[in-house]
Amino acid sequence: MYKKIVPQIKLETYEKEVFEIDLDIAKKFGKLVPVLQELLNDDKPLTIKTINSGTLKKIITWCTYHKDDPLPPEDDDNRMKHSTEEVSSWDDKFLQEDGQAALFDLISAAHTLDIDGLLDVACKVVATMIKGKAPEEIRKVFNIKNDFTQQEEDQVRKENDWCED
Amino acid sequence: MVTLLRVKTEVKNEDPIAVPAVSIPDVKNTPKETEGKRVTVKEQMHSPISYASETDLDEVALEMECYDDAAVSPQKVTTDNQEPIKGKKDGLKKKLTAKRKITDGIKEKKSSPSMSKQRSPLKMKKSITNVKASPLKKTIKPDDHGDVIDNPLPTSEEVQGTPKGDNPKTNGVAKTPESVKTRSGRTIKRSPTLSDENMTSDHMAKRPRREALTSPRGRRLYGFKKFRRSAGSKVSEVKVKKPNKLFAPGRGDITPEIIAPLKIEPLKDIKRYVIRPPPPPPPADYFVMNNGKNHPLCREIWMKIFAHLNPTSLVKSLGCCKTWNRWCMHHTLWKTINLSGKYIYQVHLIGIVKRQPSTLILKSSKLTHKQLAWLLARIPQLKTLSLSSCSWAVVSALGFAVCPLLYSLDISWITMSDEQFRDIIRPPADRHPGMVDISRLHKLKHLSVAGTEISNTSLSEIPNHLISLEKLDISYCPRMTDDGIRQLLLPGNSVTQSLIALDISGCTKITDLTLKYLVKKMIVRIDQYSKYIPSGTCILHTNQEMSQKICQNGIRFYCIEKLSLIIWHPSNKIYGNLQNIDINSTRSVKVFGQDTFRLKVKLRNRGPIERTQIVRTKVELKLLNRVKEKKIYSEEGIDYDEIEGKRTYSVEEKLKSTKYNKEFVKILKGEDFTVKYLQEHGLETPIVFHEKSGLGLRVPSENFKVSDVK
Repeated sequence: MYKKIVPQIKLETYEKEVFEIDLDIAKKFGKLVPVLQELLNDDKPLTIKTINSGTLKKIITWCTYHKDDPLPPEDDDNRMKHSTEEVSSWDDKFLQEDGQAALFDLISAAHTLDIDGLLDVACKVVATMIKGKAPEEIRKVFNIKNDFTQQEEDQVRKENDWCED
Repeated sequence: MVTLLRVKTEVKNEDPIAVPAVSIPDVKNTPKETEGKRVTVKEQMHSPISYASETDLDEVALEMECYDDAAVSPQKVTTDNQEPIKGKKDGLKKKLTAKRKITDGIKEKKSSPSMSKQRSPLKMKKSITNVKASPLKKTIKPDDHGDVIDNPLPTSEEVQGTPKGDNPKTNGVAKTPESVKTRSGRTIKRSPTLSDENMTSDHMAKRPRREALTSPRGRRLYGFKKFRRSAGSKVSEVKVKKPNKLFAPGRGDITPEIIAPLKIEPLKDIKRYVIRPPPPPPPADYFVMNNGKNHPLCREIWMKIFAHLNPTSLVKSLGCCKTWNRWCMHHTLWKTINLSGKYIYQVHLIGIVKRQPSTLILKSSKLTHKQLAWLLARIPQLKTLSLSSCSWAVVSALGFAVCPLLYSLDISWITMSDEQFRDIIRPPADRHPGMVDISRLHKLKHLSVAGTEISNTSLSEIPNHLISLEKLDISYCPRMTDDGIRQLLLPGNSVTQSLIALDISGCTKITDLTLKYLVKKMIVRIDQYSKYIPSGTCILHTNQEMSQKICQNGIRFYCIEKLSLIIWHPSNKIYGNLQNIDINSTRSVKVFGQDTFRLKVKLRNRGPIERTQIVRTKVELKLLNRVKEKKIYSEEGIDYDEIEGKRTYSVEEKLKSTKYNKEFVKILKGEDFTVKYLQEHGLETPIVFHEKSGLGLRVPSENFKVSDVK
């Protein structure tokens, strides 16, 4: 529908840098598509202040790489199956190469732009950071402030031990 | 004790000389006297015969108090004059009843048998109470003008102490508590000594107080402390003031003032509100990092991350910080809890209740009836429960009114008879007011009773109670016969309409006669149902013999629209024959077997396809059901993507939107929201009440303060 009007849309980032994005790629922006549609006739770029240029660049890279991916399955069971799939090595490397802060920025941006595929993959990457670690290690990884007392921590562990396989 | 000594007061009032006489029995009877405790002696004259059966000491004491009050009233005093004044001196010696009460948990003194014998013909009762010295008591002096009467508000020690100390004694007197409880101010009226003329203002003054001592539910509370906890503030206020007035010198002063405040506040007129603790606040959106800042990712994203974790990692995450602890407890992360084969302890139960899973697998778990009953009452959103291979004692916990409205229940491989099965599926024996006769399992879609002892009787019961059953597994029930299937699938049964899968494998007594009922009915059913479930599944789990019969008899499935036929047996060797079956329009055919085989299926709409399948498990089933669910969504007019795209849940917004029909919420009037409704539907969908009238909700007035809550 929007394809025939303008091939590219413009996004302005936090740093006031304007990016032109192919609509093929922008199709991945689920929630944003109708908004972009309205703005297509304007020359003014859409300003998204919560996203910085570096992140948007990465997002565009990712979307370009994955633009030919099949659409994610629609129903629950398949989605579950999909979500248990391994993260591809390219994704893994791509997402982790700039460190944790960048990854979180990317997740936030993916969330804002509603890019399901990227969000899903990135969440999996974060999940793998948690898997198989003890609470103390997890805290270290994510810089979490431990607001438990020793006693509370023991209590929590005692109450929930049984869930472990 | 609440007591007061009629003897004492009378003596004080009328006859100072008698004072020494009063003290005599005290000293004699009560050891505590020497320890500075005040002993009160209570005597009741002319007590009705029914008194003899009283036991509850507290009650008795209250009773006596009133009795005494009346007796002390001027008229009473005068009438009593002939007897008591003379009698008092020896009266306390002679007329003491067989009863004495000694508080403080100290054993009472035993009255000499001879004395009690003397008194018994007079039917007099007396209680001796050793009351702890209280400030109020201390103000009572012999030369006080008369209102020594009683301490209407016993201290808590007194109240609590009395019953303990008294019990042995009262048992000896053979009083029963019941009779005492029924006695109240009313009995006083009936008692011969309290004629109308005796009902003086004093007595009237007491009566409201008695009412005040009645708890909201009509049960009498014996202690002031107890009362204060349960009654409205205004009443307790009255109570607090009261002692002072009562103990003002001079009985004459008391009457007017006391009556007024006491009568003002009958308890039932006080508005009472149930104050519940506020619900826990919603979990924080961000967690705090070591540098004191919030983490960039919000809760919503973290929940997506947690969704990729397995239970073990989730448990580790629980222990990271308090915010994560809240997040990781969310029920969406714990949809399934599997405790197969484990010993269940308290910690499991509490953990399950906190997580509110929708699927609970307790296959071969070691738990007790009591544990399961406790659990089921607290996980109302449970949909799927597996109790396979548990004991019958455990499974019987399903038969109560608190059982959640299950969709799927697995009670296979349990030693269970027909009667026991009936106990589970019929309406619960325990009723709450307003409940109708409907089974708690009437929503059940999948039921597995494989490997049980149930027989045809149970099968004939199923249509009466399990009205929406879709999948029934009665495999390896050796007592099932063809007749059972016939009764299950009688033409008028709702089950006949709803059933789409039946597993009769391993039922050795079922023969090809069943096919007559089975197949025909199922065809009918599926045709009717296909409107809703386009990919209806007819699963025939059969043994080899029957599979052959199916094929040999040339049963043709061609009229089964969009049917998936699954014929399975480990040693199935009938594939060749299967080719003879015309299954036009059938979506797919899955043959579960051990050998490799090829099957040509003609699908009317797709042209001939060739499938080769070797499947050893029932995994395929899930895929079929999945397609069905998707279809349901589209039929309801809700676009699946739109649901997914919606990040927040706002009923108002959705109601206004044209994209949603109104089916996803129920709009009810307050009057329709009854116990019956809850019983039938539970709380599956959000309910919208446009008006709160009819819901029985009461909101406190604007003046309502925290201090009004007791």
